[in-house]
Amino acid sequence: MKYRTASAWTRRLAAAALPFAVAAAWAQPTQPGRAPVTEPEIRYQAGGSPLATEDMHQNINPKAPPMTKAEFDKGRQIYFERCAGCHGVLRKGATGKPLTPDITMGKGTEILKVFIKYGSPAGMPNWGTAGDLNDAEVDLMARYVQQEPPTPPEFGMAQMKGTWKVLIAPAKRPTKKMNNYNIDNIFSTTLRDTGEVALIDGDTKKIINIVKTGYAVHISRLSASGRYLYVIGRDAKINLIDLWMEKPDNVAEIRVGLEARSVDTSKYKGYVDKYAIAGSYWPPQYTIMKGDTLEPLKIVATRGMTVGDQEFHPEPRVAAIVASHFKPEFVVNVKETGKVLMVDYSDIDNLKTTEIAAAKFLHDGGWDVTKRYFLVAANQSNKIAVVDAKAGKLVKLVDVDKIPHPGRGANFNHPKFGPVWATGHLGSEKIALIGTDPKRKDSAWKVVQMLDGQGGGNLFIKTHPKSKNLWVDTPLNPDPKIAQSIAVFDINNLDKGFVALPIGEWAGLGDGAKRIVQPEYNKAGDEVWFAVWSAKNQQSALVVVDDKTRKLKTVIKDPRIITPTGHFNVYNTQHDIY
Amino acid sequence: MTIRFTVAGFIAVAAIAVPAQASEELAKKHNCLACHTLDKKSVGPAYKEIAKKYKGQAGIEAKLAEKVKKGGQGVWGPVPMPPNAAMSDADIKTLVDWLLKSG
Repeated sequence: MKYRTASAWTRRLAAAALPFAVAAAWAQPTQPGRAPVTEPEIRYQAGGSPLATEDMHQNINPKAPPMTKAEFDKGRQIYFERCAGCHGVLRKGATGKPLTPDITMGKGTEILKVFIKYGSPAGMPNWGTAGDLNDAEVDLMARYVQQEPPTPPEFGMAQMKGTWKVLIAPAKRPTKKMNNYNIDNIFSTTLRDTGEVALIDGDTKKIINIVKTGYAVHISRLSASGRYLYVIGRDAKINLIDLWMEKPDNVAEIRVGLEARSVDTSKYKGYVDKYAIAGSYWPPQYTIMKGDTLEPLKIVATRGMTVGDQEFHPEPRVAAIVASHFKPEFVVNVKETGKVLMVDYSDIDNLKTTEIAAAKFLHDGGWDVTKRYFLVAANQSNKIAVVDAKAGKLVKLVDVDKIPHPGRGANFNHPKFGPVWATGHLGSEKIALIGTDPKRKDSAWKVVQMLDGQGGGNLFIKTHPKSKNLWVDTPLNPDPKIAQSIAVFDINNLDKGFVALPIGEWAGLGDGAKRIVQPEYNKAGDEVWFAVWSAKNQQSALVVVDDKTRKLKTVIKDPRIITPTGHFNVYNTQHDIY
Repeated sequence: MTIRFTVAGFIAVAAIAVPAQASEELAKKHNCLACHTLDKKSVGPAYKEIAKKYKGQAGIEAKLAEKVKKGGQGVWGPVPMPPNAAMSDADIKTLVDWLLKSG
């Protein structure tokens, strides 16, 4: 069992882990088709939630083991730091099993302690023996999960308006570009642990500005015009950055909830820079805002019935959101209910939504090369759902391997099967290539080829229309050698397998754990950028590789570059080039 | 006369031994199946493995009954078996007999 060997340190880094996260609890896989969870998944899912610091009401259940207010608060904090990612805010279960009091009180404190301390083959981490929780904390958590789950506060219009700030009003902003930067080639780089993004000039490789943002910015997105940059932190704080300013900086900010992951902007003609949308994990809702000020206009709850068994779910989190190029629509993916919502923003007072039933636990995804079809991972059912954004219909559920994690995926022309979209997996070394040309009946919406990468723990996969390389990272792989290198395939010779490049070594940072995250192309498509993500107190870097020669081009080091993770090229993000 | 007694004896034995199904229900009721399964190692050892290891040993029923009641650790690895003080001796006996027959 590989995942038992992870050190307390790696787990802690995982608790620092990345965005959308996946793990399980009771020993028996009671959910059909649910295989045990792998170490990369645990690293991915068991990340801390900003809800850990929220005060919540303690309901006393006389049958549950007694807890003082101080114990309850500590349990709540640990729960939201370690457990909520898999078991859910309200403990209704997601990747992990449900932990509602009717279930936990039936098991009793002693059995719960065994699971928390030693873990289970179904994927529950061994928090005790891994050194993350001591025996007193294990006992505390065994009692905590028998209490009524406390509900975090709601976050409606009044709360949003309370956090909303327009730092520079639109009338006071530049009327034309006031700097000499090649805006198209700016990279917005998340500095995870410092709550900042670094804007880096892709031409000169120099830092333009370090902008204060929310904590652990999950993604950066561009307005349709490319002028405005939107970043959203895990703490649901959105910052709006104006790239026309002499020194690009924040012009507005807002919090849309207590925990969030996704933001995007209206891309359809006639709506350029008009609206922004953000989806939150807690409360389970999405918010439509004014594009140039972030003024919240409309909040829509996603609580409701699941696909398939059609049971009520109290906290369906909003995962990826993209904007349609064919209609004035946002494509909102709701995780626990398994629904894709096509939200028509042409009349937000009389909001029309097409609800497409896909599969449970929708996560992340991206467009095919024509931008008509959206491919999204349903990661607990090991499927990719294909949605036709033009027709507003589910096209196909495609079986792939264990826990697909496409990011936005990668589009390229396969020498034999034509246009394909590719995804890697958290749970295996496989890379699935799915045919995306509906005219090719023999390959459309089928896995036309499975490639073997370096190993599981993949987060991002990338290529560029001008490139013949397919880059695959593995930052969450438990083997440091694999986590610190990148696999690259030649698209015209996929059968030859990959070449592993030691990006971590190339960074020249010396010893220390570091992970290589997210290949990202520059605008021209001739450079690939990688984040070398070290611990907060260690040096990190960005490594730039020449795409043609696959040789090191340059290393960007700066004391201000602390814990870089995601990084987004303006032009490629604005135009959904991936 | 003798024949009659034998038949009665058979019935009595059958009454204890037959309800394998019922014992699985009993195991479920007492949360045993949270950690054990019949034939696969989970958090705890599989019942079949336990039966294989101990089958035929003298006095094993009493020894295992005590393990169930008081818990244990070390025989099958570091993960401890929590004590089950609240279980009745009759239920424990039924379960131990059932699991020893599962091998």
